[in-house]
Amino acid sequence: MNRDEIRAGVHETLARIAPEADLTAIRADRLLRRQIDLDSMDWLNVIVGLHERFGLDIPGRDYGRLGTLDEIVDYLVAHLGGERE
Amino acid sequence: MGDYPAELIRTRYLFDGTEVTIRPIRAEDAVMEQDFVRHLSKASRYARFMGTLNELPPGKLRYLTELDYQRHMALVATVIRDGQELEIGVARYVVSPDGSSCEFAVTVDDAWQGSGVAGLLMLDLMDVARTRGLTLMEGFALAANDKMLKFARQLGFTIRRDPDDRETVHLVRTL
Amino acid sequence: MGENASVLFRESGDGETLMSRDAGDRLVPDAWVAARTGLGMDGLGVMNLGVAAADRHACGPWAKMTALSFVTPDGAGMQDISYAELAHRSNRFANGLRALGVVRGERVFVLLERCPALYVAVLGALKAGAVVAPLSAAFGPEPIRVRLALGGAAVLVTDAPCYRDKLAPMRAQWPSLRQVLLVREADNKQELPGTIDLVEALAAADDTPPGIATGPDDPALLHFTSGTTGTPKGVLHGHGVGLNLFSSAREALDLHAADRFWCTADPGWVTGTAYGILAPLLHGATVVVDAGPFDARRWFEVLERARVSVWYSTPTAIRLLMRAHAAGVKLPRPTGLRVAASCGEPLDPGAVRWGERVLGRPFHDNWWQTETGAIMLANIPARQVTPGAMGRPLAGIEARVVHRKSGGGVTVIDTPEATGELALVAGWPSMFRDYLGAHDRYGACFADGLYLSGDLVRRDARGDYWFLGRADDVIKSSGHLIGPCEVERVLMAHPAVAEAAVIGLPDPTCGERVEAVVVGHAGATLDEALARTLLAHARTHLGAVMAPKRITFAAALPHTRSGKIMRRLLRARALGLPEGDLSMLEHAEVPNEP
Repeated sequence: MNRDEIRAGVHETLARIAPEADLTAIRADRLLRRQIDLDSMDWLNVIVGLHERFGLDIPGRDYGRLGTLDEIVDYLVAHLGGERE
Repeated sequence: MGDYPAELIRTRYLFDGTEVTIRPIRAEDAVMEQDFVRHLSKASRYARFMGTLNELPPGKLRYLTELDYQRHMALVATVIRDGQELEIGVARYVVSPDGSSCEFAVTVDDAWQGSGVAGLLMLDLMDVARTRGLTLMEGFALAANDKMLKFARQLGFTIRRDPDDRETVHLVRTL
Repeated sequence: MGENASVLFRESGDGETLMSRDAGDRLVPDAWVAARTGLGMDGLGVMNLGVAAADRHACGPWAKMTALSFVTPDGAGMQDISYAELAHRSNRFANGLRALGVVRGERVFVLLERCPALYVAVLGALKAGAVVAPLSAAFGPEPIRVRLALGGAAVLVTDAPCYRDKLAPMRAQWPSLRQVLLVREADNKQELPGTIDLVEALAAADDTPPGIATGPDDPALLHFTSGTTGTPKGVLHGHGVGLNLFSSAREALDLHAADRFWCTADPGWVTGTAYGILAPLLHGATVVVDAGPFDARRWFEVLERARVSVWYSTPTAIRLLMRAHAAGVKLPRPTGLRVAASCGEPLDPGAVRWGERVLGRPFHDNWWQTETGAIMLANIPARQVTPGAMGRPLAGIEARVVHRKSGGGVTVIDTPEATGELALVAGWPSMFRDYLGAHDRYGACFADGLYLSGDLVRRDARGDYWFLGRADDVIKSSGHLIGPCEVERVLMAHPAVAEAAVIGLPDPTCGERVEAVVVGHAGATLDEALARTLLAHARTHLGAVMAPKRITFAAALPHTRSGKIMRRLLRARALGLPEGDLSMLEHAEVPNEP
């Protein structure tokens, strides 16, 4: 899975939980929760959704590293990259 | 649709002396019934249907106005305003498959609540049910609908609460 | 306690209460006399929440003491505001409001994130004698529109993005709204017609006390809570609410001057104003403020870095922390924490014990409502916690378990084990004064001298109270009350929707989760795309906290034969539970279209 495919998958996960969000207008280097109206439950569902979509266990200690769209994509690339060509 | 039971048409008087007609609803009343529902306050509409609606969807409107007068009976209370018949309240029952019990519902226009029309409608409705051999009348009300609970008690209904369903209460009385 | 107070104990249903005589020689709970003394209320009945919260500590040795301590956006430090500065800035705000023509009793709405201006505006408006109505920035435009109209807002204080996105298009709908004061970031000077820059509005105002004498009965706060019929209820409180805020914060949270207190609740909800702003300031404590979204690791960093000594949070946040902890997030035990407490919905015993293990302190659950103004029942720190219970009545509060009686009135259940509706003997100082514009609804909350809470409880033989559920269809999600009708109305406004029913389903994290079952209009294609469109519609209008988390379709909603929606059945179906007694169900489900 390449970076663009991963990014598309993240977009799709977000669109399922917050379909009103205009993901094309999101600044990928800024905190997502400052740009999309996500309450705590939504955020939890985003993490669960990423886990389901990418089949990757995200340990709790890493939650803090998933604040921006770039961080999420970087994280997934780093943990999926080599294994899924 | 059944034959219109014209023998059930009555003239009654409210607490303030206003003359009202109480009569079985008919298919031609669909427009009047829809106006009545639209004119209810949001709170009254919610209490009646236990759900949010702005007006009756066509299927539901037909269900509530095109009756067989056997299984399903509805009485409307109307007054004449500006030469037009105006619906101020409606009460109905629908017979259960067991053939001996029925479920009722009663609604009064917000401006006419407290006028006595709900009592007139329910007493007439219970009379009709009784003469037709029904032995039990039951209904549902929102647990928070204090006015309805008080009214039902005065009419002799017992209020039963269901532990699995805290938001509604079950109203029951023998006829 | 005053010098001439004669002390005695009064036996009430919940044990003994220490009583004292107040200045008017009336016998009242000693906790309230102590609160009057603590608040410096004089015998003339002068009481202003803003003055009591900010000004009493703004002179003498306390003046330099930190009133507000903000976690900086980078999370690295704290930005402090002293009591003296808070007093001056709120004076300036009050004088600015007066210059804009705001008079006593007018409603000033505050719709802000947790920034310094929020605290200044709330306290300043109180000092000006206005009624403060805090709104949550998490609300979408629709709940905001309804509440501004219902409250008859004269002035709104908000920020530029919020005004531009949620309010500007609807401005004409609030004829009473004279001024919108905008808090702006220094780099954003975009012109927004119909608004005034807050800094400019206050430029000419001085920072001396406005000197508006209010009394405990004068209206001070307007909070909105959801009701069963869909129109939110505007709950009105007087300045006297401070008395119970003061005494409850001492008894239930063990709060003292110089404590560093963190309340995680959003300031737009009642807890966030009552205990997130007022109660700690009344005590001369330091309010720790963190504006960032929930993040388990960061929250524990805040506990440590801000040296929080008393922490007040919600069950949903606690359960999220527990999940993160279980998933491997390291949560180091905070070194300065003395008391941890929780409110909003019942806290399960596991969460109480988790607190003990991870924080070194159990969570002390307590119970109150918007209407009660302050904490009424609590597991107080001075007593062993009963995990899972919401506690016992605080000093001066008398609780009863009642059943509503045929023909009005209530029956008080006196047996040691009692189940029924929780009621409180009416007349405690922070009891709400009215529902704005709905006085009959206010009257309906009382019977036989008791306030009827609408919450079903069990009182065990030891005197602890346990929450069982609401007596109506209001949904309790993440500690917030959500009226299904308010959500349904927004869904119904979408052209594809013929009928909608919103239900609360049990959720391990947020208590109850909001879900919607929708019947589509003929011609609407009921697919995943429409579900998403409706979800987007609901979230855009209501905001994430009120909108359903899931929308499903049904061919028809289950009705009784007379046409009443059976929500019990919708819930059972959604949960895959037995459907129970179906004798009342109309099997030939009524079609919505001809």
